[in-house]
Amino acid sequence: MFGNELKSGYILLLYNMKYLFQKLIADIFYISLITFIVYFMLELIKSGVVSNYFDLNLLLIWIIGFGILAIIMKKYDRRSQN
Amino acid sequence: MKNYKYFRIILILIPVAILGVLIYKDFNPRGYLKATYNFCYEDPFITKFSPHGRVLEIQQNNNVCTQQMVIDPVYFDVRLPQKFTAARLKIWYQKDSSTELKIGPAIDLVNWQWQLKDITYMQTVNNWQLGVADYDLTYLKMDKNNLRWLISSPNLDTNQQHIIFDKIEIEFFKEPLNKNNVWQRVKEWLYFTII
Repeated sequence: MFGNELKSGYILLLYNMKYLFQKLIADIFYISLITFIVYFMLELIKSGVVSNYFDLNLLLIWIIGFGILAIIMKKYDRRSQN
Repeated sequence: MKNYKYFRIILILIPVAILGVLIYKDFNPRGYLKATYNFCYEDPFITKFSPHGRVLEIQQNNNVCTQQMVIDPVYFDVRLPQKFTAARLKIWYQKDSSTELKIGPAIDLVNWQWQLKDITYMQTVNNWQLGVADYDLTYLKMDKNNLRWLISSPNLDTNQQHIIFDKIEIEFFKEPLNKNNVWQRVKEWLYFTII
């Protein structure tokens, strides 16, 4: 009986961790995307304000990476719900 | 889970803080900017030498990158975040003592006026001659935020000479930010490239 409680607690913890991780990935993706748009607009307004000190391409690679990860996690979550 | 909102706030604050640093660097309160180009890596401030043909391909040997100038003149641009009043150019090169070397920024590109100055030899460092020149940038007409520079060595090709460049460093100066010039500096910074 005690073993079952431990097992269900462990599953709940795993589920929470998965949910938290998914949320974190999605948040990083959206925040990075908004950051990219804002930095890009600033660069258009005042050329060099961002690109003289920071490579926007690196941020774009970061966004693509987290975007792919967010899509994979969402698909995986839907499949496990079905 | 309960503390996640704080974590989210931190996630949002990171790009805001980075943006603050970027704007601070661009605004440059100290009024000092150093741009260095060593031919190995592209520099955000200094462009590559052009046109191709007057300068040969960049050579890399033991982590030292060099570029040879064979025909005069050669150009490069410096992309500045704001207007500066003075500049000091340091250049590491190899050339014969008889070969002339003049470098300077464009005063007025439309009227093809340049502030060319002889490079003053300072010392030799690891087989490279170090030369220096100082410029007054107060009355320059810039092409938006680009400051075009010209490297001149008359009769370089006819004398079958060449100049090898190893590194170029330009220091830009202007009055540092103080309580008397805050608004003027902010206005200058905003109007420099926006309008």
